[in-house]
Amino acid sequence: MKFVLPIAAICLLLLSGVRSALILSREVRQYHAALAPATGIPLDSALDGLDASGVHKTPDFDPDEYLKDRGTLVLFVIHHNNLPAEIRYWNSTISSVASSDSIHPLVQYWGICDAGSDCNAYQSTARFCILGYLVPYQMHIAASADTNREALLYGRSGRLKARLPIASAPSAMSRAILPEVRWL
Amino acid sequence: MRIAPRRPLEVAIVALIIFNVLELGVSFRLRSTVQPNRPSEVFPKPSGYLSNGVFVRFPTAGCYVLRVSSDHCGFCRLDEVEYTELVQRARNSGCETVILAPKREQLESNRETSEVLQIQYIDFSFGRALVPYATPETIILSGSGRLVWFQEGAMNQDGLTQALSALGRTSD
Repeated sequence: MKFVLPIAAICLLLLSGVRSALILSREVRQYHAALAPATGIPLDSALDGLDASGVHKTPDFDPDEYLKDRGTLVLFVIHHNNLPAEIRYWNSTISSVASSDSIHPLVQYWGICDAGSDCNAYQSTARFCILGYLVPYQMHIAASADTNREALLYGRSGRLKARLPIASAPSAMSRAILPEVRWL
Repeated sequence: MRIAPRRPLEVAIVALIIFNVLELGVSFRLRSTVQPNRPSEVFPKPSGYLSNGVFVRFPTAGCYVLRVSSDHCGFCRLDEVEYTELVQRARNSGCETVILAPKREQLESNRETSEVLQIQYIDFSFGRALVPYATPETIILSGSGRLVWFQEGAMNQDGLTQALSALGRTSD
């Protein structure tokens, strides 16, 4: 009988310890996730900025407020210190997506300049819309995607549909985009 | 308390108590450390397009007070008194004050005054430093853009006291 209470105490402490350990392991995972740069990207968007001519720019929408042609929008960051090469890369990716056999709705492309208006002069050579300024919410999302070396693909309702790692070659990038933009 | 080795049950109880206390300690430490929406430690000098389409690059100032706010956020109205006092004290200290809404049309342009400008569009470097996922958020930067203090959520009197104290630490 004299061992009942200590054993009960041990059992309760063990249960408490295990429960705390489980909670703690989840907190440690959250801690590491919070320390890692830009792991969390919100699913909603605020696609709103200024284009290379300084004009207010939103995606092309249909009257029912879906993206035009029930399409998608690919958002990525372009870097002013490597601009010609990156414009060639994305032009080639866009050509590759457009010329694929896949039947898909309209894909809009936004290249977010990492240096404000410094990329504007290249708009004439780019097959995508260059934007130097966005609303703060979307600019932080773009910066987070850049930290992760990702392009973001928004679905027809403007919600984040896919995070696409930037491939080393345009052909690989287009292969990553195509499955996400096909008709449902 | 002396623990005799011949009493293994007592040893086990003490060990488990220590284990539980350690777990609580680590958990408390983690919760006080993690701030998922913490802004960057260094900001560029605030700049961007105002809601009226005019580009502004703020002049060099002793410090900067940034406020992320929205008309649709009830909590943003809770600390208007504290925020107004902070702005007045900041202006008296030679600081620039800036309001930003995370998204377009979240702030009426009449919030903008000659003393407090409302930036609507920002560039990449500013966007990377600022984490505008929650409103209200109040940020105090030194003149060189170093993060001195920030608070996510409405300020109470304690928050205001901390903010005013932070204004005194903005010299680089």
